[in-house]
Amino acid sequence: MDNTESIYEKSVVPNTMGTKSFNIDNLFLVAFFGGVIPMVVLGAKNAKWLNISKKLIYMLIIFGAALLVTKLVFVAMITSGSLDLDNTTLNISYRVGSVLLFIAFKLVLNKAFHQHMVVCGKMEALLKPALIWIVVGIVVEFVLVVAVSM
Amino acid sequence: MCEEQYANDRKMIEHYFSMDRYEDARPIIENLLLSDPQDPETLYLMGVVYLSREQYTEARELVQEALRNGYNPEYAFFFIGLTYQEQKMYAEAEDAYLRSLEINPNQANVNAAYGYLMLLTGHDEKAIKLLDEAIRIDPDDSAVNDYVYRFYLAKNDGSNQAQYLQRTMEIARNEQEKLINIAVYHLVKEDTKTAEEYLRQLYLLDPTNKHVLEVLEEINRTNHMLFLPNRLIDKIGGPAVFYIGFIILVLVLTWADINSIAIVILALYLITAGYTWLAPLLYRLFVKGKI
Repeated sequence: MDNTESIYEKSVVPNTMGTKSFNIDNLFLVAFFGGVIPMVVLGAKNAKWLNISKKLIYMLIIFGAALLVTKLVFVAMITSGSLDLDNTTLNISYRVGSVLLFIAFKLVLNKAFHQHMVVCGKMEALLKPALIWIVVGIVVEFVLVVAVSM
Repeated sequence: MCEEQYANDRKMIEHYFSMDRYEDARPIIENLLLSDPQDPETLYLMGVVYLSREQYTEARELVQEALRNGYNPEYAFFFIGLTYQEQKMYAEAEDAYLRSLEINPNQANVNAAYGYLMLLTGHDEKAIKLLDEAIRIDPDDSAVNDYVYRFYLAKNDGSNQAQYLQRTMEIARNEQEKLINIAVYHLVKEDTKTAEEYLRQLYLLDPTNKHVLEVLEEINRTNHMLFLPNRLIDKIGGPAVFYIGFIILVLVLTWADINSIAIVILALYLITAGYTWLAPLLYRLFVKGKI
């Protein structure tokens, strides 16, 4: 019994909250309709609620940023004429990329989400923040696309 | 009040408590409090009734008063910790558990509850140590085994889950406890059909249990015919996999120049996806009859 002492010392910092989570399966719709920006915002928020390590969260954010930058580079190349690709193919590829980003988030969050559902069983309402961030995401993306096409 | 009457009342209260019928014990406890409003034992019992009603602040205040009047502090602090934990005031809950354990570290149930608190606050290693300690102190305590079982359920640890489910079944205090644990096991495994059978038995044993009814309604909802497409999509790995599979299929078909079939599949996909998003609304409209 060498370390029984240490288990009776305080570990909880004041104001510690329990975990919270959206229904992570529904984040699929966020990625599908809203693309990278709302997926990263709401996914990272959810990951923080579930106490996922910062390193993993940053990696997911970088994955999302890389997707968006790649799309913008392609848009710029298409408008400058250096790449022969139609917009539909680009948009479908980007959407598939957003869904892959969702799958990455889901893989990272799954275990913690399961634990949250067993010990707490409650989910936060997703509809309102999802709608807001989807609109913000679409507007921001539109502005960026216009900016790089000029 | 004579001693004999007091002893009889206490027996009745314990009897009701052992069957989880706290409201039935309440009038007896109120009576006891009328004749002696300061009695620490009776105040504590009233605290238990309030705990069962999920009125945590009131429950805690009663037990704090019991403590001031000389109630056993080991038990009182444990109880106070439980009320804080239910209210998600985790730092306060930890303080209370530690005060209880400071007086007597050999309380299996307090070690287990503290271990579970560590799981809730993200200190998994310490949680395992405390739960192990609780099992070491009293391997046959049903509350302790419940906590350990729930820990492994949360961690999705299959072999330990089965082992502790078996253990909780062996030492459960009554039939209800057994049924709850086995139903929860199947619910977490998403085997809702089996879970439903056990919950129905549980409901027959205790028709006043609101929680059982709520879970049964939820199962009925997800098992409804309207949600069949949703269930099928979940079976193949969820909407994301369904979507990616669809995209690949359409791309392959267009590359192979079979555009007509590609268009049919596109239409089918849109209808199915649209339907799965509308299903909850349809359910509320037609099954529940209200929005």
